[in-house]
Amino acid sequence: MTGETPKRVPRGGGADTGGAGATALMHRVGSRAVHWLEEHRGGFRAPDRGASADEVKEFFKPVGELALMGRVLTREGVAGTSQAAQMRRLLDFAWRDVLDGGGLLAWMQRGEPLSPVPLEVYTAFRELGYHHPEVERHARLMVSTRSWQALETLPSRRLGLTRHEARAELTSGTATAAALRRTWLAQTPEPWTVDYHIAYLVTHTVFHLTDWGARLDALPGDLADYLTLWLPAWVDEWREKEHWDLLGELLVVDAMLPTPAFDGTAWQRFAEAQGPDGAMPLERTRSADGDEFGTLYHPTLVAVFASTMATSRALTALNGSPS
Amino acid sequence: MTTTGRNGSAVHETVQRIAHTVASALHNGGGNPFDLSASLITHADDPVALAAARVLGADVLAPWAFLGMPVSQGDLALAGGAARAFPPDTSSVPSTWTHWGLTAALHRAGPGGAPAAVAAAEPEVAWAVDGSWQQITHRFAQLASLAGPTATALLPAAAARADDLSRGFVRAMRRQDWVQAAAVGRWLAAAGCAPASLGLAAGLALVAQVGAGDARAALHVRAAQALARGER
Repeated sequence: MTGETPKRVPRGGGADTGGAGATALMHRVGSRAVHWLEEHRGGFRAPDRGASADEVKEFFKPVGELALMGRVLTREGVAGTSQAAQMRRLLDFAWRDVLDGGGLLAWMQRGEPLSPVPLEVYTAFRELGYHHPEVERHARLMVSTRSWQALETLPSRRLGLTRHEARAELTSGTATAAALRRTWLAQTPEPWTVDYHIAYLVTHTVFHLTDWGARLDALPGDLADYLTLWLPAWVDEWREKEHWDLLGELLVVDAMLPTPAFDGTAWQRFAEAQGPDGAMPLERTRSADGDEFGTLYHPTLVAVFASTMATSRALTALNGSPS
Repeated sequence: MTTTGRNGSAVHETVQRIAHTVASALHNGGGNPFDLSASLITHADDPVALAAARVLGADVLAPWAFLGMPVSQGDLALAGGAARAFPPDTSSVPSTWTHWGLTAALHRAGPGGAPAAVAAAEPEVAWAVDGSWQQITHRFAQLASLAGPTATALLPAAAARADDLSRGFVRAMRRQDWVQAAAVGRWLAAAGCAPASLGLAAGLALVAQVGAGDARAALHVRAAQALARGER
């Protein structure tokens, strides 16, 4: 056991929502995180003119992840009115001011025709109603090439690409099953080998497979059973190590299972780690120096994701309706 | 039972020596005569040896229990002396159970058993029903000397919490707490109900390779492997 003495930690946890108080705590994490994101939207800024393709790609990552979370928040419909409006303003800013209405994605496609990055950024915006015909035409052409299908990527990213293709209506998604089989998770390996890197591969496999929570029934029963069995051990480890980014991702996976555990201790610690301004530190406590936005934006987006999925599933369970 | 300072260090060293000897016997089989007390080159009433034997509990007699190796009079005297010198603290579940396990093993090991070796009723296991998976893991790991060929009420209790103990095994492996991993793995092997995806055999083999610096881990691994093979 550890020497830590967590304060105000509710006992138990387990396969229930923990009631309205626990749901309120999970919801509050997300609304505070969205507030921070809007306050710091300048961090999603557009690259300077003359930036190289690699430099532009670095700007794409936060914007693409913002769009994914915007899609999740809009879809689940559990955000408050002002929170939803904040997110919509953020997305408009990101599409219009950062991506130049999609023009920056098309620019990159012309420079690096085979790069999957523009499509990976575009898909969520498209689902949110933002369109750029040239980006779609280019992606449709490249997806049909043998080179695109032969791209050497991590199996979990390849799974993600097959889902991006399907979500952008470029393919029918039939390659999903084969792509899933090649991932680490699909082999259901020894759970005690799961280190930092494998844990992220697991979370991203689940995110991609379920289209970031849109199709929870896409998770096969044997994988849901595997995750239900071992996720508590991984949540316990990364809570104890105070790695909030990874803990947040694992809490998202929990909320995607047929019967989420909603670990009360983990959620309490996750909520306590969040700063008063709504930012979630990457791990332990926030450092005073360094690139604040570059370090904080990802765990804060993860906080939005975990909060939204958990709140949505908890409310579904409270209402007794099938998930 | 508490041991401090120089005496505690001596007990720790003797625990390691006994555990190493027992682990080797379990690993190498019943070819050679086993006489723990003779190998210790000490008197059967040496307080350090008695304390170490009490720490290891029924595992002092594991070569007999697991492999049927003849038990020496010296070892029976050592085990009996340990049971008498350190009576159970009835307020402590581990103390009560490990003392019961030691006396039960003495009782089974033969008529040469010490007077303390009287068959008594098993302690209660109600605590195993409740408790988080972390707490259950901690508690069963303390009782690993009772995960042997002879079933007690602890065995179905462990089987009923197999998923939780398996999570505890994962946790201990990730923390590199090799003694706890091997101890919990021993219960899972005894109950024969580890989830297939756990990979218990490979996990125990890894502990044997990287965690055997602590002889108690090696002892639990060899006991678990013997249980998995269904010996005795």
